Amino acid sequence: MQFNVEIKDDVCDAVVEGELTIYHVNEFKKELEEAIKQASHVNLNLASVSEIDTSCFQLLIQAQTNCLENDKKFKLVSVSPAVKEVMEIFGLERHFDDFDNRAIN
Amino acid sequence: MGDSAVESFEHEASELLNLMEESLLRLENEPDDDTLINAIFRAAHTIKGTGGVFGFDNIVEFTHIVENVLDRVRVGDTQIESNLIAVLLSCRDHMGVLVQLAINGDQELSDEIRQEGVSLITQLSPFLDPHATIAGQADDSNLIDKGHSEVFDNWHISMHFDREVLQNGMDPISFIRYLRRMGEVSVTTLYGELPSLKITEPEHCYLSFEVNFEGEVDCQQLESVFEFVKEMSDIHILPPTSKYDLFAEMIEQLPDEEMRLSEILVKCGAVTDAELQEVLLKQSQLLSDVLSQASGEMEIKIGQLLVDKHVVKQSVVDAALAKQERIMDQTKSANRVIRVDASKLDKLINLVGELVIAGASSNLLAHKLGDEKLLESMSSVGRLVDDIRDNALNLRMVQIGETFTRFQRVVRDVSKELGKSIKLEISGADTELDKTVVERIGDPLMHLVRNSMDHGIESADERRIAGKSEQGILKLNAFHDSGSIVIEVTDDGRGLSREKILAKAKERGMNVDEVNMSDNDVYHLIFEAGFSTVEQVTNLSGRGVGMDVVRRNIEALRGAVDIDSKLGEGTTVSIRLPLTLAIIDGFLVGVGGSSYVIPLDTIHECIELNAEEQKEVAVQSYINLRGEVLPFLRLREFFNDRNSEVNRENIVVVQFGNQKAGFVVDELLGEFQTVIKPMGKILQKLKGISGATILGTGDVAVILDVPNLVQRATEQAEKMYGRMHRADSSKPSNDEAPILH
Amino acid sequence: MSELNRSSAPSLNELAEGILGEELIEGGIDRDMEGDKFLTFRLNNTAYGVEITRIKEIIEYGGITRIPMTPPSIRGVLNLRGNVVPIVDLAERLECDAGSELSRRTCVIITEMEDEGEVMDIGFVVDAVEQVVGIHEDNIEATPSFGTKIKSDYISGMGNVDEEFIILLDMDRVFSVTELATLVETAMK
Repeated sequence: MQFNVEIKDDVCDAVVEGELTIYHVNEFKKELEEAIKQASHVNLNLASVSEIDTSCFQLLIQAQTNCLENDKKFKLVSVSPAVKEVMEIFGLERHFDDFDNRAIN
Repeated sequence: MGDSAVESFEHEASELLNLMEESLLRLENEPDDDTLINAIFRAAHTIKGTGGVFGFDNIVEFTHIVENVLDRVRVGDTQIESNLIAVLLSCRDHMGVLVQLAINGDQELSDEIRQEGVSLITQLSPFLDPHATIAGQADDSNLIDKGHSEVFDNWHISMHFDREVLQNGMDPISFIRYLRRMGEVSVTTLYGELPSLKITEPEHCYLSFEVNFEGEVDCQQLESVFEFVKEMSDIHILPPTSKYDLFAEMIEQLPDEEMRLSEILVKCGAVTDAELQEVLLKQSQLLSDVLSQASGEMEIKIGQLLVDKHVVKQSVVDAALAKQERIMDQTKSANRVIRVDASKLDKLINLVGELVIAGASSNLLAHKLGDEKLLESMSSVGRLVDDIRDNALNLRMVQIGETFTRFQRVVRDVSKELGKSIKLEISGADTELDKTVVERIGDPLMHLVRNSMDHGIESADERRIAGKSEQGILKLNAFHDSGSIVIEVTDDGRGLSREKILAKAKERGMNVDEVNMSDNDVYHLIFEAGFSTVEQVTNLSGRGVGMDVVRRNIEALRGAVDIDSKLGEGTTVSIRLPLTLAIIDGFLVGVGGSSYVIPLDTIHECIELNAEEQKEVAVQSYINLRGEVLPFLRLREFFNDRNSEVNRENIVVVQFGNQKAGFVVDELLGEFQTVIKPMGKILQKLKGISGATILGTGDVAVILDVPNLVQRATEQAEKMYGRMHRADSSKPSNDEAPILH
Repeated sequence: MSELNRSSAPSLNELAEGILGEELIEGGIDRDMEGDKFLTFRLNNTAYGVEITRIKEIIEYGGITRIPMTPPSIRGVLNLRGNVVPIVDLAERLECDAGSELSRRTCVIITEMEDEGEVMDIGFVVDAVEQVVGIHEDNIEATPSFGTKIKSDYISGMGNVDEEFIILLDMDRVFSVTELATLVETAMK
């Protein structure tokens, strides 16, 4: 897993690459928390994630909830087919959109 | 799932199965009694429901069909007839088998049991709704307009995983992926249990899933998907066409955390997440109108909205609401009945026993000191100790009724097999006795009942010839009598034949005195070891166990068996048992420097002997007590105590059943209550002594086994008075007076 | 009850502690050399030994209630902290001469026996408890087929301690629950 962060004007653009599995979940959590701490807009690019499992997917939901609770914005800007498949599997395709919309409205 | 939970399921299921049986048997005679059919339905329903909680699918599947039939009876679509009762009784037995297997952890049914289930379902089918389908088959019924038997078309799979499932290398994703290969899948992911990012254990699984599945599969195929994760999850698979009831049940089964109604409805699959989102949107509009609404009402609103939109039936919402309320009320309702581990009760009773002993010891000290204030306070402590003792023992007291009613079924089945018509009459069902005693009289009673039906009650033809009604009557009766409970098994059959018993006894090489034995003694021969004969043991009277075993079992409980019979009219076997095995009121007597306890409830009176009587006593082994012959035992001699003579002698007159005898003792030391202590294996077989107890002084005193000693006294007196026999009377002792005087 | 035993027997407790306590055992004996430890006691001037692991406790003699109609090998029962414990007359059981008269040093040794998974206490009376000694295997000789007054079945070996022979009892045989129960049952007939 690689987690590259770029912060500009209170916006954090994070690009995640590689595998997001239970072997990386602790690291992924640390990086996510760090990213959320540093900005009030978090954009997560998952376009290059080759695999995601339940543990890391849970974290996405938690990160989003965390942002929502702290009046921050959390957005998945792009997702890879692997991530999309898991969203479908969980029936949560619209989950991140919905919250994103609500955060914007 | 915890063992204790399974245990309580086992307990509950067996209670419910008993209730079901009892009600079914009564229903046969009172087919119009709605409360009975309702009780049966509820019992089946609850077994299915709780079985489902544990994932005992075999129970759920089978019981579901039984329940369908019961439901039809309940609403009047199917009539009660004896055929149906018979099938339902067999179904109830099958449920019992399934429950037992599930508890033993055998989810795989043997072919035999599976066959039994299929055959029962076939027998049930004529009583089923011709349009209804059996669980597991598809049904295209309309989802909405079907009253309370609303049907959902697809399989519903509820998946809850243990937190550690991910760490163990399993991922829910792969299970859902696999399901997607088998059919159409629609998943609702529940993430309400996700903790906040800060405190989360990232390697734990917090998600659970409600899956709607459509595909050509059977339950086993679906189950096999979860084979590997069985230990680490809680998976419920609901077949298609499951009715509203099943969903309502699922609501009942969901974990008892406080839940939002919406969550409950989604969880049980009654609404989809999407539908809920839509309703939520509507709700938020409403909410802006009524800002001050309490959250509880708000949740009810969600329910209302869902019903308004025809997403779910009102009944489903009601069930969910009931569940929600139940969770909140739980603390209140939990207080009504508490299930307590029997070992905890035993521990309490042991402690109370210690308290009784310690109390007696303090009392002794107080008397020694003679301080009036102390004595007064001791006596009020004593009263409290008495109350505590009685109450503690009361906790373990149960009515004998349940034990009796079990025999309804036995009598019904056995009489059918024997081709006899036998009616069971029960009385005294509310007589209470200690649970430890109840648990151990089942087998002896069973034997006596079967014996009566097998050998006592004649065939209908024989009865007609004898001028009796064709239906034989078997009675079970219980009552309290001087500190004991008496249980009677009575039949109106052919009665015992003195000649036949004597002939058989001689054949068995038993030592019998044909001329001098009283009828009662002859009858008692059937309780001797080795009397039971091969031809007597049919497949009904059972496992080659004789009446001697019955007697031994009863005696092991400090009880006794008596028998009364009249040729051609019937037989009564009465079992006399102590009410409790833990504590007795005793009467302390001194014999040659040692103290002995005589159970107070066996004592009839105490007599001080004058010089004249003492002389008489010295040469005889019976005295004339107000015109009655009283055999007695000089305990000092009997116990072979060589201590010096005492001047005063007293006779304690004891009574057991209808036999009386006297014990000659040195001193009468007074009443006291005490705890019976087991003597241990080494001294267990001692005759004449039933246990030990600890006195206030800390010394051990022996408790006399009155029935045994009375018997010995009688034998001894009979030996001395050779003439003494009861040629023609079934009543012992009292009737002998005229013979002797 | 237990208080009664305790209050009147300080000397005994001290004795027992002294015997069973570490200090005595440590006293000069090379631990590696000593072998299994035995509690030695006297009965009618004969020295006996019992593996220390078989001893549950030692209590003052007293409070024994005779049970009528039992064989002489059953001395009676006593109250051990609320439990009724049968007391065996060891002299009778071993079929040797009766023990000496009761003295201040007479006491009851409680041992634990198991029978069909059930553990129970059994006590036996001895004239005096002496000491705990370690007896090395090499110093235990086979049971002589004659020369002792008691049945060789009950002896597991002869321990040699300072040139004195101590009869080591085979506890499982002497206090066999099944055997004792049979004795009681036979005595009834």
